[in-house]
Amino acid sequence: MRAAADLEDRNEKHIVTPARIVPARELLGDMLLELKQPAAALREFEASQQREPNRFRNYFGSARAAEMAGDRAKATAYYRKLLELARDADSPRPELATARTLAQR
Amino acid sequence: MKPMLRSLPLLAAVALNAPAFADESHAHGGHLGKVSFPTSCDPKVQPAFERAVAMLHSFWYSAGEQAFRDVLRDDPGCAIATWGIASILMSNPLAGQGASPKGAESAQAALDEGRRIGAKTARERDYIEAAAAYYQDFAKRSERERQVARARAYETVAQRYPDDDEAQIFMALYTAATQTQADQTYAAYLKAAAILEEQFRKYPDHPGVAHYLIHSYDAPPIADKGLVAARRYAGIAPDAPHALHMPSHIFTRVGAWQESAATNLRSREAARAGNEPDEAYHASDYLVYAYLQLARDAEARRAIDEAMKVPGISPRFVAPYAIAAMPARYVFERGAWSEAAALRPLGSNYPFVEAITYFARSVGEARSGDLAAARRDAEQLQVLQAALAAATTATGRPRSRCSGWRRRRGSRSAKAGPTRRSGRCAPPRIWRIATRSTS
Repeated sequence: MRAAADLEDRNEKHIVTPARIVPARELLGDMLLELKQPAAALREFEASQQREPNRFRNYFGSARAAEMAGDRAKATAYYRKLLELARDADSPRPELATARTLAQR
Repeated sequence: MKPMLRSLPLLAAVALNAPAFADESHAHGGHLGKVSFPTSCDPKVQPAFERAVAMLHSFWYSAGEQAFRDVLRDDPGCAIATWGIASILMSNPLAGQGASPKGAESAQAALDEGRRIGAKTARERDYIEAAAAYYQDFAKRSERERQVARARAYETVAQRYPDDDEAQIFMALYTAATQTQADQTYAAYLKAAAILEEQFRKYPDHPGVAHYLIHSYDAPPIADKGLVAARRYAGIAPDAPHALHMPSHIFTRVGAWQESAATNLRSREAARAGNEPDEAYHASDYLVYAYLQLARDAEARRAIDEAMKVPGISPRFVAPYAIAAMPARYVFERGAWSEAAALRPLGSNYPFVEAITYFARSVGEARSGDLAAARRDAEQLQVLQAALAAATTATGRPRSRCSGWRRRRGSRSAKAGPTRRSGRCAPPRIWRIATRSTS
């Protein structure tokens, strides 16, 4: 997965698409979270923001990774970014309910 | 083709602009931007010619081709109009697919006609030959080779006529079109951008300059330099479907989703009205992507449904890509893994399009625990990857995305021993189709 993310970063997307269907580096972050490596996951999510900024799944992944790594301030900041990004949301995504609860602290 | 239908909005625009000054040297389709392209043609066709060039600058293929043909009909001695026909038949010069075989035939016929007519100035003859450099030995050359030949030919024209700003602008476009996905110094893009920035200061209302600046900054580290052109272009040429869409290339790069959604919504409507179905799908894909970042899932769903109502797509890859990508994004961005299994491959001729669906399905199945199905779809990705490798000049491709998810899930149930990296799969991305087009 890491090789895929590195390779993706060394190559540009084609103009036909707004973006990769999902950034490989975000998938790597998801995977590291499942493996209970939140600090490593956070590094990948934050690195992914460089080339794919302001993405919903990235902010949620970053927040969860920070939370699990014990960086509550950073987690709260990312939950707030997520809520700001989705302030006109028209659908009840479960991530938003979580963010609303945890951004309050 | 339906030239009558296609020219209706154009006729309306012409009628609206009838009071424009006849001696004005720029195009007065006020809704397409300002272009000044002096010719030796009958002065009566000059405004229509410049309007057609404005359409060319905004990649408005259907209306543009008809507009150049109308110029030639009204002044059969206007050889440079054949350059316009050939240029617009190149399709999107940056997309890597190029002219269709049928389009190339039609373009060659136009260029032959232009040579037979004989343009009255050397400059016009040079433009015609520069377009001809792209079509020469069309079937025998890859699109990459054609792109490079075209850029070289226009470089010569631009050098020969240093005071001809249109020559500088077209040279910049065709230089940007040689940018490869592998070059992260963005050499071709930045060379084009330097020329275009200078032109932008002179011509803030020129459709091509703003348009090509956006293309030339369409990469993550340089995207913010394109914001000025992005915020300007839609206002310069609001009648052109592509002009309404293009700003979102930059908006997407910087995460400005509201702006992207707003301009793509307009583009989709203009594309429907302007008979550019492929453009409607392309704008819709960007629109769906933007909505999903904003958690506007209901809007995204509606945008997909609206797009799928648009009839008449071409055999090019633009629309199939969007048709496969939109539902995959809708599943992925919502983490709706169980919905992924319901995705159906399109059955197009493009392996990279089919791969989107198999990729989304495979990851979705793996993450919802159906490993057997995930494995089957990942195997299909290997087949597609082989097909892709046979049809493209690839610059490198990540292959290990799905296998990781399968290993991860597999290891839970199977206490996996050493994992083999055999289940490699192609990613949902696309490489330059360099060798052939299927349309």
